[in-house]
Amino acid sequence: MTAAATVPSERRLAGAVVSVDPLVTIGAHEPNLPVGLASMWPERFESEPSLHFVRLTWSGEPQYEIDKITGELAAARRRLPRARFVFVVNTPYECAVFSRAGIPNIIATSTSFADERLFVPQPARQARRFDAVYTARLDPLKRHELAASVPNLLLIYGPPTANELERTRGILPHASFANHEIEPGGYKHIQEHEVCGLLNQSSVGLCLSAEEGAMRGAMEYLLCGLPVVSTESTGGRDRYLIGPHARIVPSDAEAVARAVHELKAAAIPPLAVREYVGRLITFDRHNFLLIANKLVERELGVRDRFRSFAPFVGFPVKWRLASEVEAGFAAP
Amino acid sequence: MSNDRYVSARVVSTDPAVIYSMRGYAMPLGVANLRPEAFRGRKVLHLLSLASTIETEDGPRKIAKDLQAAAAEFPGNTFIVLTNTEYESYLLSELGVVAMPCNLLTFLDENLFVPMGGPPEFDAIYNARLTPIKRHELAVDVASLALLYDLGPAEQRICYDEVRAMLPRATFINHQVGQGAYRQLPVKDCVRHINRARVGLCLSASEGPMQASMEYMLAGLPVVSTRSIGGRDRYFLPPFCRIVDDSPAAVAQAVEAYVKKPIPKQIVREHALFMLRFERHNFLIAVNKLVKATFGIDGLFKSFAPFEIGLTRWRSADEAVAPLMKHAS
Repeated sequence: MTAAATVPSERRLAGAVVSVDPLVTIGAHEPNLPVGLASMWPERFESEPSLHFVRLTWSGEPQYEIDKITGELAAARRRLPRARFVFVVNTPYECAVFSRAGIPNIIATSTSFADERLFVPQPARQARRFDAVYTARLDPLKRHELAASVPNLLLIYGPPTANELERTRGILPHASFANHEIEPGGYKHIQEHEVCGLLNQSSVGLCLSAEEGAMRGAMEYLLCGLPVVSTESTGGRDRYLIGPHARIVPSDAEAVARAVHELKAAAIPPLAVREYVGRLITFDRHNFLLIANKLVERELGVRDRFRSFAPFVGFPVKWRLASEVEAGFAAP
Repeated sequence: MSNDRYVSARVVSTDPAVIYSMRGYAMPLGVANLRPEAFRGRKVLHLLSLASTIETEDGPRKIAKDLQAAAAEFPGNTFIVLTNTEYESYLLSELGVVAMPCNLLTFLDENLFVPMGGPPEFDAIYNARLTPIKRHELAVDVASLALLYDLGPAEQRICYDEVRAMLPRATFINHQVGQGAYRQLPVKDCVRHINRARVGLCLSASEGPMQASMEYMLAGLPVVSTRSIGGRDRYFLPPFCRIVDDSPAAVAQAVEAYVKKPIPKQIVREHALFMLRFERHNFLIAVNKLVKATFGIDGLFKSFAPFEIGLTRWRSADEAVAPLMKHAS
């Protein structure tokens, strides 16, 4: 494991220093940063004990992922013998497969770290213009083709390649491509508060990949009060897809469109959806705090380090400049 | 091995063979230790639950050792440990033991414990064996207290006289009903007695997830608990539960707060059911993945129903494995 030498300082990463004394971080398993913040700044963890929560950004079920992480963990332990690493998996089944490989892990689905203040139902100032919205990269793995039968569709996405854009326009000629239509002149990044506004103009949120991570977009829909139509999936988003506002459908465009139609017609109050998912997240956060404190006590000898979930809200799933994350080492 | 040994075990599928079983004294692999012939020479997925905490110095290592032995004794069998807390799963993951969190209380029958009408007579009730680990002394300052208890295994010493002396004002329900002698009560009577109180108590420092803790909430009672190890705090969210210091005054004060400001029973129960539904939803996803990985079969369990009815009920080992024996013959 090397330090920032191979990681450009302008790099963005998800994570935070959640405690300086004792030293506790939460970060993401990312390319070149297999153990999150400890990969980014290993020299900071050489001389004193530290604990690192490393959450998954992709399904941890495939054996090649397990093999890769096993190797990365061994390297990190050699480089930082005083550091302890705990992988934060998204599903109970991932717990089982990580345990089989001897990878220390706990479950805390990454979307439970979302900042619930950023995505909220807004007062209905205008009719919902779109039957459904799909927040997803224009990548084939997101299976946009399954939205082909949804009559009035909004897409929100990260910067696509020319091929991705052309391909998706071909599949969904009738869709609104928000990032290209919000203002003239090509692709525009849409800020979180603007995404929230667009979600609030949509009746239903879509999740159509077969495999990915816990899918941040799924939680953003729910926090905004949108019911969700999802295909069956691997990666953890189905944890929160429970209740009258969630439908799991076969990987079939007609089934997706039918479920969108039904959920739109059901007109479930957005606050009811948000309240429902809020209770689920509260439960998961309660249990994350219990185990986070136990681990800090066991590994670093400090009892009840975290009195609330506040240090963990948002930052674990928000990509920030490395310099911003590094500022956390100086926090009081 | 005695033929009448009772176990908490149930076959949840015969083809493929999936069994839920609780690890226990002299049966570290659950019912497989008592009826090995039912499992040898076939492929079986064992969901092995834990009755009490494994957060002891040698707890996780013992399980690792037992499961290593199981691999030799039961080739073709797969054992997955269902832990009561995420921390227990973590401890096992360090040792390469296949485990996932699934609290025992997930499998409680929510239809047995329900709110009942009528004004409560007691401020608090404590449903716990009369043994030192239950720390009845912490309830000494509760003004109006009822105790409900079973006798537990024969080898366990019951401290009726000691607790009686410690809590002279308390109502010892099982002895009151038995007019001075202990009487075991059927579940429906226990539900009625629990409903005679406003608050449920959980006072041990360390045990398992404590079935009574969820039974209180399903019956609509808020809970006052000390800090604990074992998994009951998983469901202890405010405002339905208060976690207090290990002090009689703190326990009494928290009880008093609920007495003064009660929460409607249906709201407490709804909270408990909400959490159980969430747990079951996620257990179902996970168990189907385990079945897929073990047998290559997709979506075996369409609903939670096979896990719902009397899963944790104690039955004879013969009764527990009967569906597998029948299927094999």
